[in-house]
Amino acid sequence: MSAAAIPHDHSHTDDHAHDHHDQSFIWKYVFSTDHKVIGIQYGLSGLLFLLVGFFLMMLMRWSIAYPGQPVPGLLFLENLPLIGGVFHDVIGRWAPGGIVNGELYNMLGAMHGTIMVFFGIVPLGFAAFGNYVMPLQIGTIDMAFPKLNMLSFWFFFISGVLMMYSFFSGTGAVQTGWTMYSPLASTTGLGVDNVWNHGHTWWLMAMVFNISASLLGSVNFITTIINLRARGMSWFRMPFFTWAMFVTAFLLLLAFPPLEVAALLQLSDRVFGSSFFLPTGLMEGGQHLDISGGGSPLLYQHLFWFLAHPEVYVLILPAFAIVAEVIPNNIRRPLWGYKSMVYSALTLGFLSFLVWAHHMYLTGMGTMMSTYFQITTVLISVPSVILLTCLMISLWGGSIRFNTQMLFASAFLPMFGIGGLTGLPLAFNFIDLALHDTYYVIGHFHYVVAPGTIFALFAGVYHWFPKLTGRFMNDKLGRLHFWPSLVGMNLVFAPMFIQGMAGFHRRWYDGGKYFEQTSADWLWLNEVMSIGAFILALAQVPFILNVFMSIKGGKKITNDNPWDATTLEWATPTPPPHGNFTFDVSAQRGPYEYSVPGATEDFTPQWADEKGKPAAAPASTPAPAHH
Amino acid sequence: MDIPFTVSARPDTGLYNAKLGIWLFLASEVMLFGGLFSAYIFLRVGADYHWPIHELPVLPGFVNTMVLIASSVTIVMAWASLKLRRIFQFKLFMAITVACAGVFMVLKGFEYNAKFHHYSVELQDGTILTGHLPQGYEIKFGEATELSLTIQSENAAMDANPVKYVFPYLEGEAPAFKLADGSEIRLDKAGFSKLKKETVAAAREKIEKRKQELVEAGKKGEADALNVVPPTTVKLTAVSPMKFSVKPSKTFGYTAESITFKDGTVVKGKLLDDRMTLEVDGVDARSVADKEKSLAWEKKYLGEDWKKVFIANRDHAQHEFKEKYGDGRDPLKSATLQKHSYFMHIHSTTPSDHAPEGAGHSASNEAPAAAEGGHGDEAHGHHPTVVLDKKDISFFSNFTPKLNTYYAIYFTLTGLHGLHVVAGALVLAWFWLCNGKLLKTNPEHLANRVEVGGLFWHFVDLVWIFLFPLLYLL
Repeated sequence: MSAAAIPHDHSHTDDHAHDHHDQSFIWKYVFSTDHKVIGIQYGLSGLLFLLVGFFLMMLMRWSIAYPGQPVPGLLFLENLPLIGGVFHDVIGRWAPGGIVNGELYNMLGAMHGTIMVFFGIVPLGFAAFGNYVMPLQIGTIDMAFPKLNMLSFWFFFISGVLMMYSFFSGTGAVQTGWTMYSPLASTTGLGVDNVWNHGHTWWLMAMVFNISASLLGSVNFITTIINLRARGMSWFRMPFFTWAMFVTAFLLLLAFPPLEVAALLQLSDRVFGSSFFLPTGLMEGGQHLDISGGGSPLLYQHLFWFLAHPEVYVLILPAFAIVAEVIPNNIRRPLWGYKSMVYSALTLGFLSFLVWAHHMYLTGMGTMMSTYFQITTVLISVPSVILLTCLMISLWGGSIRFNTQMLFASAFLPMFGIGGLTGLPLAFNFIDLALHDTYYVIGHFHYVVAPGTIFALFAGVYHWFPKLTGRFMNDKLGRLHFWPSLVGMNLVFAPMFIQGMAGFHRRWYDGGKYFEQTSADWLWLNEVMSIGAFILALAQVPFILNVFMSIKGGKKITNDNPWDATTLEWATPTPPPHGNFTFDVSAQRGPYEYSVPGATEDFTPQWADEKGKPAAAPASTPAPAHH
Repeated sequence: MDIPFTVSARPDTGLYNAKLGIWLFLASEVMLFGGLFSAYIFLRVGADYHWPIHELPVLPGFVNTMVLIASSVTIVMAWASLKLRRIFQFKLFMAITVACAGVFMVLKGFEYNAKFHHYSVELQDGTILTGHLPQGYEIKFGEATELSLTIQSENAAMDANPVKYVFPYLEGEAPAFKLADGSEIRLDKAGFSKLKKETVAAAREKIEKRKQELVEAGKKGEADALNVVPPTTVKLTAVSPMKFSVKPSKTFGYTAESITFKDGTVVKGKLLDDRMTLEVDGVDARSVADKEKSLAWEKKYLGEDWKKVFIANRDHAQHEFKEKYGDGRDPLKSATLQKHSYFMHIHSTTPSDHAPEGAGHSASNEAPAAAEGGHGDEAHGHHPTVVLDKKDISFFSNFTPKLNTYYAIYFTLTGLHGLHVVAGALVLAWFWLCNGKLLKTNPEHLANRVEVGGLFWHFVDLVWIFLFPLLYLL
């Protein structure tokens, strides 16, 4: 890496914090162009959306376990002053007598998927952690395009508002699953003359903004990583976190446009009456629709899954990113196989574009196609396994500190393992034909994203919280958060494999009661899973309390590097000021130099000048500015 | 505190930030248009109808291609001029570039507009008649006295709103209506909203009353469960009969006795007329098994004389094909021959005026263009008029995305491309007109901006270079 000096003056470093002291609150915290503020904005909205998605899921789980029984508290909520009316418009008007019916269940299902994927995990994992941590890790002052970064968040914000508004629209939110398969999604409620009265229109518009937001974000991420790395931060000195964000950004950049195409074509089908996804002779309610036909429902699925499969890796790569930071830090050993992890992430990114049609084995697209996608799907498990194995081997012989983030990170490994390994059978089309659309599939991908990704996100929150606020989160509450979460997650998702193999379909709003002759043996599991979901809900209370209480009341950190970490984000003052670093930052060595033989400390930070010398706390004793 | 490498390139990557950013953005754009091009291939390969070929006017498309290529040259000239600090030339070339975008969009506008006024009607046997609708297409419905409105008490997708969805299609003034209790109301905006308010209030009151009864009977749980107020259907009788003329697309459907409007309002009466008057400028019999028995040749429609012209036209096309290719090509496999043989374009009101050679293949490329060009009313005089029975029509549409998947993808691709042209032109116009300060203080930075904008502009041009052959020529 050549010396790419950052051409700005460091002679009055102390002024960095005061550069923008005349900014009003609005410009500093609301319309901010600072990557850290934007990261926090993304983080808070992501957590909020996770909570919303979780609440929708609770209603679904109630309906599954106790079909036809009124949801406790639903009528009470409706009769509350002020929010009661709003709640009635969102949920209540679809639940006569407080009972979740099939229609409402479909809305909940579609919106749970949409919100969790596009508004919860991606913004939290990629946008929030990526925005906050990545520029710090590569030692730069901000993202390459700060204004676009702000625009990205506000596009995301608008898309969230539009998506939430769809609940209030005349037809209610969409009911056609988060995948919006045509022709169903192209034709439901087509009679509604005013398109603004249809939740689907709002869904599609929200997605357009969401896609624009992630497009701006990903361009920004890639440019920043390529062009703004600090002196000495060569490609293989970048922490794995940054690498994973780099790959994720490419996935978002290249995979989202086909979804935009799918959304545009579907919008055209609905608004202009075209037949992109509508076959000839399509009938509804015993009548031919007033359409030309000649289109292909399969085309929609191809376009959709071309996005949605890479999207899966958009969900999981940030999780690996976080875990790969938390684990070396808490085992006091280097990350085992750092380079193979990097290459695996790159391979994973590349292969993720070649596997999409394994979601479509059941469509009859042809055996050659199925065979091809079966091969690529099996191939992609190789880099995933390498990633997981490297993290596992890293643990070997480490002196592990089991703080909260490490608990979550170490639970991530087996949980993701279960999710990944149960996916292997699904890669084979002959097995998938039987398991398609059953709870087995639901169990599989929820193990990947719920106890997998979400646990990693929690680990990240506990890990970087001290950098954000200067205070630790409470460890006892953390444990109270972790253990019930672990139990709850497994109670919810493990029985799904059993039910799935017994043939339970994913879209039964009564959990299979209607098919009692065949489903009776395993119906009781519905209740177990719903209780698990309830435990999971309770387990989040300590977390929420912990976050808010620790901002002001947590234990104060004693230096800027409270976890004795090695990567550059810990070289900044706490919290990092506008402009981030108070000294001329450069990377002297690789990212995971823990327990270097001969060193006095068990960690050698990337910014430390000389190998073996104890790391100076840079914020208190800033390196002399030089040019 | 500035972001590094906004103006100068980073030595080891050789790029300034914006240039890297625009290339990434273009990669994303490639995926966007790549998705659409794939959709085009997918739809064309899987089409179960005769994929339209050579239907678009080639000349304006070709001119547009040249215009865009020229603008790609001028944007480079603008950038180079700025680099050399030749400010006048810079501004001149920017102006030409933006003007080219304007020309492109205007031509596109003419092309679109012609399609909106040109119709295609598919008959039950698969024959397609193209032409213009001199009076539009509306059904007539009369002797209507009974109106039933479904008034929703909750926020719903569809709610009775006769003022917006029913009365606009009424001929003459809306009459007064009698309610079930004999009282008389007028359904103007105020009258209807009063009726609606009262109906909703009554429905709510009914629920409240029922709740009260249940509570008194000691069934509080059941009372609480009544949280959704059901809709009410109100029946109204008009004091004098009404007559409607309405496009079928503005209704949910109709029978001989009733018609359902888009707000769910049902009107009872009598269907008077639902035939369609079409000035035919083309007969496409490619999808008919026995072309000579097509519905189009029935006496009530075009008749035997036009059939003779059709046959002459077909024989002429097939003869020419044979002369041109001998046995070298299978006539059944030539989509072009199929079109020339079985898609007859009509340029005169009567068969005797029709010049068969003019309808032959030599003119068929331009013929639809001319027909679509339409030039308003004067073209209408040149075509025979037929009155089609509703039962013979299986589908009709103007040349919009609804017509078939070809026009759907045509409008999507060119529309999206047009949006890119407009957006690109706006950005370039911004650099040209509103960046005067930057031009003085940091022309190098402005040159970077123009370069980045130019890269986008080249991409837009490149997309068109793919679109033109794909949609116009192949």
